[in-house]
Amino acid sequence: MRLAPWRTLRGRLVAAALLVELVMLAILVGNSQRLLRNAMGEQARDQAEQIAPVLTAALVAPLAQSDYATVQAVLQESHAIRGIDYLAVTDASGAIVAISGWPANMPLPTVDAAFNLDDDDDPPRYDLALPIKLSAQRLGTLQMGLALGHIVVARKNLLTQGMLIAGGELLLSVGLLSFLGYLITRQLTRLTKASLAVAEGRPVLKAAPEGPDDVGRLGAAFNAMQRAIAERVQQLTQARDENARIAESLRESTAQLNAIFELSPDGFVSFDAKGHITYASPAFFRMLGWAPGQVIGLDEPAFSARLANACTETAQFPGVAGLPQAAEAAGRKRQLIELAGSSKRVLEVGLRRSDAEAVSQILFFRDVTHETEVDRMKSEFLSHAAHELRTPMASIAGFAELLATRKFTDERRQDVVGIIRRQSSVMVSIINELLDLVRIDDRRGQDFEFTQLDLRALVQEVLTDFGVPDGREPATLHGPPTALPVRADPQKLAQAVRNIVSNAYKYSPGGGPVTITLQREGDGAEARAALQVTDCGIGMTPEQAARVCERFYRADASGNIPGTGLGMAIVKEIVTLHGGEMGIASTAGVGTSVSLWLPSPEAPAAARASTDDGHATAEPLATMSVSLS
Amino acid sequence: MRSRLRVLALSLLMPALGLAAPAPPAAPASAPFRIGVAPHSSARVIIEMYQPLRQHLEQALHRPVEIVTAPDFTEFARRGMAQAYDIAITTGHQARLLQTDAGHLPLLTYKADFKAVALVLGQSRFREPKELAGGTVIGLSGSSLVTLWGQQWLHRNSVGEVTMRYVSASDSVGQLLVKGEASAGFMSLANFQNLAPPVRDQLRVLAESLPMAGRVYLLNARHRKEQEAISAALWAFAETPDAKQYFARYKLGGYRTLEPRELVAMEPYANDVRLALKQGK
Repeated sequence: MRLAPWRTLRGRLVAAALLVELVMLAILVGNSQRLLRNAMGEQARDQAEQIAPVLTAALVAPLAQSDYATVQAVLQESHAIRGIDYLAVTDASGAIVAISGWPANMPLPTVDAAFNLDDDDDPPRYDLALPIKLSAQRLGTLQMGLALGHIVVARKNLLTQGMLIAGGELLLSVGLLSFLGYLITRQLTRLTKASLAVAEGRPVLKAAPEGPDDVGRLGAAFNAMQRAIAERVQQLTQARDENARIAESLRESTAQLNAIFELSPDGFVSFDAKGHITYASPAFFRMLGWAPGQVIGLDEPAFSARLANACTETAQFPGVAGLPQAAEAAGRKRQLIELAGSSKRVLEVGLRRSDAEAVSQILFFRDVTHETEVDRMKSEFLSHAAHELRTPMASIAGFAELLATRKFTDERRQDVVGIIRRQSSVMVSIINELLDLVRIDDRRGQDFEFTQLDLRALVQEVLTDFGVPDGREPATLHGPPTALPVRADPQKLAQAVRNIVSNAYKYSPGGGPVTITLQREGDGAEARAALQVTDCGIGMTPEQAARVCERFYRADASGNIPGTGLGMAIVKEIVTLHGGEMGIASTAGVGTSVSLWLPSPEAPAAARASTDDGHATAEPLATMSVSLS
Repeated sequence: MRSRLRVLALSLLMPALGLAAPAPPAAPASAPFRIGVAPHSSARVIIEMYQPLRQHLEQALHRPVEIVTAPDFTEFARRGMAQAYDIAITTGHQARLLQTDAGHLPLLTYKADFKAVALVLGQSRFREPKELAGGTVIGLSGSSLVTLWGQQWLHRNSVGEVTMRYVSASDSVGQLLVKGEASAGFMSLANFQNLAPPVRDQLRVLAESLPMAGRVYLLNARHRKEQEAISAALWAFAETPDAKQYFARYKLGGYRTLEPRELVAMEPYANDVRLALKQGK
């Protein structure tokens, strides 16, 4: 950045020096003018004072003698003296008796009261009148005019020459002062450039010159300052980088925390030191169905009251303050609450206190509805399993006790042993199915060996191996004669088909046909293979149909129909792990139709061309009343 | 001689008849009262000498009074004849002329005798008037009484071929004599006595005249009505300390009345002046 000369220190110094010099020169010239004026004026007055006595002395006698010719001669002689403009003598009555240098027909100039170089006379002149006296007698008056033109000329010459000299001196001063200013301020200019470089963060390549004089000391101080600044800048840079790193880390941590909080199924509510809610995680709002504006800013009692109102009577929120005592009384670390309404959501609530100023305590909410349900189901499962196992076990134990304590005939003993054997088989079946179900649950299909197979062939194989109860007709298979490809574990899928077919026979004790229908639905990626097993059995109510896949649930409450109550549960698990769906349509007293849909890879075009009953496509099996997918 | 007697007689009668001269013009009231003193000495000496009188008359007459003189006696006589002075103070012969030809009124004169002296350098060889023959003699003016007396003295002593040189003041006469630029010089005895001692002591009186009417005060006829008052003022002046000092300083002795015969006796010299005026000298 280049400053205008008048804005630089050098320019201002030069301007100030020139101003002072100009003032001094003006004073000098003015004073010279004044001194010249005074001196020359004094000289003029002295001249007048010197001439006057001589003239007076010379004029006394001729005036006393009225010898005006002599007076005129004296005046004419005196007029030759340089500096006298005119001379005139008047007698005692004021009449002009002699005159020289002034027109006789013109009145004499007015006498000046005082010496004045700048009056209106042109040419400038000092008019004075001196009485010509002898003793006490006034003989007349001598009036003379002293020419001041030479003083004016001298003054003008002095002024002109003084101004010329002053101008030249000022020019020389400008040059000299500018040069001196340059010598003085060039180091300052370098310092300025270096300062700007430091201010802009650019490195200073060349240190400021140092020396013993003021500028040198300034340069040394600047260098010290520059080094200190560089050091501070380095420290600040490091600190900035560290802060940036910390900020980035904090941002990442915050992002992680936000992501965690966002994704976390658990809800958190934090209170500040004054007991007001400052934060609640999204999961909390999802759990409660509240909006942030309804929670943020609430104090502890208000929040406790609001949450308590949202809970059922049986699992009430004891309040933030009473939470530890309630949990301790319940023998748990955390308190369970149940939200009122249709969701019946069960939340686990924990409290963590903190000494931090920003967060005094945090409420922890976890949705344990599923876990609670699982626990309940496990309990129920265990109860059912124990119950189901106890029945054959009780028969086995009873009949074994009878065999041990009583004597039976061989026939009777054979009957009892047969009973024991059958109950053992039932118990083994129960245990096997339980093991199957547990295995499926544990492995979640990881042990399935999927392969491309023909569903029709598989069903045909199951039907072939299936032991049709006595007096019943084998199940009839409908569907296209071509292969119906599915990707499945053949053993697991065969087990599912077997269970469905077995149920169809078991729950149709009155007989009736069991029909199996296979068909392909949809095209491309949406293509599915459908399997429908229909019986004409006892059927089920909708409530029963809805629970038929629950473990150990049996639609037959009479107990006349053998079974473990696990078959349909196993079917549902297998179908689900195959990516398929299951549907049940049942009418009490009419019969039941169980459908399975499995993904079907692209089948040959011929397979889709016709069916065994001549229809190109069958009606989709979408009319099931209950879908268990 | 006869014509001179007629002129003398007319001179004596005309003032009495008031016909001797035309009536002088009245001076303007604001004009200063001019006292003309014959140039018996330098103008500066004359002015200084008569200042006490001037101041006294200013007070007495309640009007400005100035002392004036003339470059020489002839001019003084001419101005007197021209009624230039209100009071003329001049030697007897011009007083006679002004009395007879200008109608002036004689007032008074000094008590001291007026004598003319012929002076030579004290150490000079001149002892007799005849020894001055062939030399230069200095006089104040051709119209002055002492010069006229001296010329007549030279004539009476038959000093021939004398070159007359005229100067303006008796001081100059003394100076020129001391310098040896002239053999003899004429001045009044009073002026001789008033010369600066270094000059006076080097001079020697070769001849001395009889007492003559010296400086006579004449009043211009236009002040005839004021004659008594003016005369009284002059006499009153004589009684003042300044006048006494003035009289003593210049050895004048005071005022006295003028005898008519004293001016009549000056008639021959007055005639010389009249003649000189006519000749324009």
